Amino acid sequence: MRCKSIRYDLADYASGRLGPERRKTVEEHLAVCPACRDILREISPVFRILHEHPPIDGPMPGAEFVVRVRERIDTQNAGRRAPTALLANPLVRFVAPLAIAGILLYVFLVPRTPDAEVSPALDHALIGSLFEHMDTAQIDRVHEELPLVIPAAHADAWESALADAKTVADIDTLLPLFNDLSPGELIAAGSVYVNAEDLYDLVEAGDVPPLDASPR
Amino acid sequence: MRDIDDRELLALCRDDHPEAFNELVRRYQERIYRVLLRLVGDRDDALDLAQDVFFRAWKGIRDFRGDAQVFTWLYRIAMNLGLNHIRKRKLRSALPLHTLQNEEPAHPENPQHEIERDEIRELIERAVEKLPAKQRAVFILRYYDDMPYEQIASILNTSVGGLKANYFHAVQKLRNSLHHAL
Repeated sequence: MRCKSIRYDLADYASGRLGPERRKTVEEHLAVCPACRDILREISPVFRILHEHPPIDGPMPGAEFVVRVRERIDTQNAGRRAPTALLANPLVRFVAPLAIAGILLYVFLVPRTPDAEVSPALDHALIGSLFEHMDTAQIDRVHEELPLVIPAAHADAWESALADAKTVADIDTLLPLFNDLSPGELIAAGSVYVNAEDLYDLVEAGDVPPLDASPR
Repeated sequence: MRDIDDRELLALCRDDHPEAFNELVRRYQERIYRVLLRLVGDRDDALDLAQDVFFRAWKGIRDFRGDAQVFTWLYRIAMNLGLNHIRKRKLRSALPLHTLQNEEPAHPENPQHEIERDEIRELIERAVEKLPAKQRAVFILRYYDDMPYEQIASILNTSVGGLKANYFHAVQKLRNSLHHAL
């Protein structure tokens, strides 16, 4: 039996959450595998201390909780009803279609630059310059914090580049992953722009150096 | 209303039965609040998020096809909101020690012992907070909620194999964070 298939069950084994059959398999492996026994020895005290110190939740939400949820629902319902009441006004009923037609004409007929909706403060160059100032541990930290906002199409390349990266120059190979996509595609793919905002959150939290840090 | 099962309750909610949704909230408010409290580590935020969960559930109740259990669906909404919250806010502070002490019963016969217990409890909370967001979610659902992997997979929309790996790595990280207390 390979260690890896057993190893991921050791936490459940240590906390007594394995079924009898799987438990027997794990015990048979432990009997012949000192490496897995060492891991079990390391993690078992975690469950002892967790068991001895259960969290204190404090007061649970009471009857007022339902009231607050209901208030929010009622507010939403009132908001929905308002336009209906508004449309009872004959003037509004006449003007509203004209206004909507005007907006549609503006949206579809007025030329605009591509991706004009994207804030220039969150462009690729800024993301790139953030990465340039990070070491591999910081990049790993960003990766740990933000794994789900990497566009799926680029996730494998991102993982592979991170795994191979040893220097900042290696990290630079990550940048084309973002630069190859248009801002519109990024937003559609899951939004690296949200990702960029999170990166800035990390900068503010002191987990990565600020933008004006000296290049390493 | 309290005696009917979730599916019947859901059907009544879809028919805009006035009391049905209130009963749904009452039935799950504690579980949803508790899991969010563990996830975000702040009572007020957990309460706000829990309200948001039920509000979104109400908005989406007609689209819920009923192919999952009601509480799995509610948990899914809760974990999405909770994970987004901690990713955005990067909460670093959880329940402060003085809050816990205020709420715990006094133990005059052995106060030193109780303070030590509080300190270890706080260490545990900090260690769980330090876990990456997804590992934290998996750890909370698996350890504190005692939830089967298959159900967690349905909530977090991921594979059982990946979850087991996440849980194992979370426990290893906890071990490293707590090694002074072990």
